[in-house]
Amino acid sequence: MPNASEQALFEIVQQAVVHVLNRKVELNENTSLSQEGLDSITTVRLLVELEKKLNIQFQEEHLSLDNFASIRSIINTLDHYGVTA
Amino acid sequence: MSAKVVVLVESGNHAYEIRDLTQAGYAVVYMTSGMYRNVQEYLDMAVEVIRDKKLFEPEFFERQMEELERKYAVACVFTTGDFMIPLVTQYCRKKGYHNLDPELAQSLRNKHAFREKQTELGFKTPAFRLCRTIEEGEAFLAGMNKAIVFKPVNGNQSEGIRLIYTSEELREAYETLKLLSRFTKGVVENSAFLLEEYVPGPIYSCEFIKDHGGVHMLGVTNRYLGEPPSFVESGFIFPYQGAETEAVIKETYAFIERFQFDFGPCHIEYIMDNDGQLFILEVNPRLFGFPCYWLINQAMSVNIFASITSLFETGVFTANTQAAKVATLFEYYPPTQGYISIDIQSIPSSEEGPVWVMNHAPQSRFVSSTSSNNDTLLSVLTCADTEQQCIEMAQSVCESVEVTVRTKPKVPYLV
Repeated sequence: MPNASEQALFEIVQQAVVHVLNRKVELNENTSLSQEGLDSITTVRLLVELEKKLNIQFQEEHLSLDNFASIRSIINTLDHYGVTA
Repeated sequence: MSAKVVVLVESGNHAYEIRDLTQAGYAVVYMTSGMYRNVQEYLDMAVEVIRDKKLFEPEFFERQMEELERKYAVACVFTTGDFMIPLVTQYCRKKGYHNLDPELAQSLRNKHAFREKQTELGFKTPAFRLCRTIEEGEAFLAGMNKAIVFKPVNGNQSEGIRLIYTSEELREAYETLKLLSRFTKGVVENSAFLLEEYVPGPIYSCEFIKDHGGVHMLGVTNRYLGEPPSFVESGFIFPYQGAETEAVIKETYAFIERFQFDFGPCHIEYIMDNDGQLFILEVNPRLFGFPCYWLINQAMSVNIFASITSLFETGVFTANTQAAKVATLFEYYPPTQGYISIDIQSIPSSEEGPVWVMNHAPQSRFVSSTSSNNDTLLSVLTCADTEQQCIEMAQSVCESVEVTVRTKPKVPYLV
């Protein structure tokens, strides 16, 4: 089961967000990702990227814009999959 | 006397209906998948909100409805969102609520089935093909040797629709479809897509209501469409009074008759080619999307959501359909990629009219491109005695708006 320190998990999620946004962007854990351009399509791209990086499979009920609103909310969602800080 | 209970299933208007129906004396139960933005203030006005992504599953939906019927005396059930139209109409038919024929709803919802039905009924259509693989799509693209339109078979509003010139663009559109399908829990199908010949030309739409007594024509909207490849609207005039109106209304009556459209509100989009030939782009058994309800309300002095609810409750549409005024909507889309914010503080605006301005970028927000109607930054709605007055009011608003863009240059050689 994946495990990582808080900083390491933050960096993994941050890198995934930067990857799907396809540009340099400074993010803290509460930055609104929709303000940074994350929409329904890029949210799914982000989800796929996180699935690859963390070797997990998101369940459909977690696939909502709320769960991907910020790095903090993503980290909270990852908690359901045993990926904890 | 207790309020009549209405079940609204997935709003296509950010839940504004709940507010208007509550003001009209209805008690609203709202069912939503939670996938699209709803205004929390209006959700709070509902007597109950059921929020679950399983809403798209027929068994779950039916179970929820039956529970609600045990709890409330439900007066009517309807949806203003595209996704739920087949399920809601099937349920209404089964339980005896007024609503559209579910078989017709399904054939309007599935864009390929709709094109086939159109052909069968003698309507002119652009060349089209249902494709199940990229290779099939590439063969159609090569055969057409000109731009084609990629459409999800059963998408929502303009999501996923793209103008395609190359195989690479086709692959990108297909990739986006797969992502869209996953986001919608498979409701948007990814096993097939529709490719159509691109017909350039001006766009019109027609709104009407069919009740058990006949057709109530609300009017034609002239639509200024944004540039390809994304097809997002940027201007509407309602009711449009130009010379094309007669042909649009005539074609709408032909649709109602040949498709045997039996009940409810309906929005038909048309494109007129260079020879003046009208093509139906699509038909949605609801009125045009947010915030166009405002145009009808202002032009006709009605509460259109309440009137439609009364229609679903009684089977009869009784609201005024004579427009005493003209209303317009102007949408402003991102001019470039970057962080954009808009200041409209000095502009007097009210949903009561005659000028209503919605700022979708009050705080700096990153925008990359215009890919759907949701990317609008500013909506300017005006109502006046004439079209010209409306346009002048909108222009006056735009002159007072401050758009701040923070962007970075790009080196063109960088891959």
